[in-house]
Amino acid sequence: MATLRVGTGLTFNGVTGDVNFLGIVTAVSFAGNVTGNVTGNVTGNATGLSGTPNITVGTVTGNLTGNVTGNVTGNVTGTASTATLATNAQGLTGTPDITVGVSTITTIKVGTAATLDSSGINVTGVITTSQLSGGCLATISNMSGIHTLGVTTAASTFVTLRHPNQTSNISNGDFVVGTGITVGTTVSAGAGTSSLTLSLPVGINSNANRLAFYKHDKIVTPAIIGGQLCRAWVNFDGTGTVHIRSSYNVSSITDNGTGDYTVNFTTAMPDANYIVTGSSTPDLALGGQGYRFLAVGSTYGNDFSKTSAGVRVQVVYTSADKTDGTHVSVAIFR
Amino acid sequence: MNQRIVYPNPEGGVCIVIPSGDLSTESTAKKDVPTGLPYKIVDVSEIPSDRTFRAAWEDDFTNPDGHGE
Repeated sequence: MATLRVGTGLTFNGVTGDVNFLGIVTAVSFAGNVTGNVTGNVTGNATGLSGTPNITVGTVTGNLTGNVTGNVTGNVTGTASTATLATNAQGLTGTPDITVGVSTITTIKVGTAATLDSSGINVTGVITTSQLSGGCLATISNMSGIHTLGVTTAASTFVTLRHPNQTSNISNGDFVVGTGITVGTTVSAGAGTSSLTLSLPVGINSNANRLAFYKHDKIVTPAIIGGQLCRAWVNFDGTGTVHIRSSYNVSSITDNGTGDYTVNFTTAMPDANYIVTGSSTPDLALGGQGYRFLAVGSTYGNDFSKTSAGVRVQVVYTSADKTDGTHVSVAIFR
Repeated sequence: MNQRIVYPNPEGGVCIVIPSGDLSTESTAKKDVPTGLPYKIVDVSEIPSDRTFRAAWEDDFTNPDGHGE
């Protein structure tokens, strides 16, 4: 018999052992568990398959056409159209993973949180760097940029590098920084050579312009950038009613007396080996004149008061007398 | 911030803490006033704006609002 047709109401009861179908099986539904290997083509919707708790498919050899609703446990081998994946692959889980090795896939929908299509990757949620390859992460050398000299012509977008030993590391799209170069200028052509075309004209004519190139396609992580950032800063008025104009990572300043202040950090520095830089104007209300310097420490004994929690600074004259400053600026780097 | 924290300056006079707003005034006081020193939280209007005699400023800390931690 080439074809067995099972009509309505006809069931196999009391069958022990295997039932082997050697031809085509046509059925409206399978009410029960389908366990074992299926060899051949499965055509139609598998939506009606049900099992407790799941449908277990040992090995399916051949093409599966149609929708699969429910959990699939086991390996899925074969091909699927992109339309099918885009529409129906949502929610599939496998152990350990479902691997899609078809490079022509244009859209992968993972739940509702992430999509990958020709316009890029759109993710709603969290991406951790452990899931990114190292090549896309910025390195310290990337952060310092590629420095060389360039020969440029005023109002021209062309630049010739004089020390092209690192030109192979310059890519189109990289940002260029240097004298006479507008902020935001990028390399638009000539990557990898000493003759570059920039996105904007160069404003000067010199044969010794110092240029720096910065990668445009690297992700900067806190591990790379952390040591290069200003850890704390404050701009305050040290005259009249002393007040803070703006600040970062500064919980308060302490007015210790005339021209004598302590900057207290909101989050402490890792140690006291940071650097302090700053400046001050004179007390403008008093018509102050002359230079003002920002000194670290105090004139009280040997109290330098430079700790991980804060730093004491003083605004002094050239004679080392203290004075209030209208614009006192302090920045901390570590 | 319309509040200031006042505590005695070990070198003489008083210190005035100007909070940035990163933390509450109370938290700022506990953190930025030296350990063990009493402090008072006052309105900014209570602090003189004339600093001509800044070194002569004084205050009474017999009933402080707290002590530096």
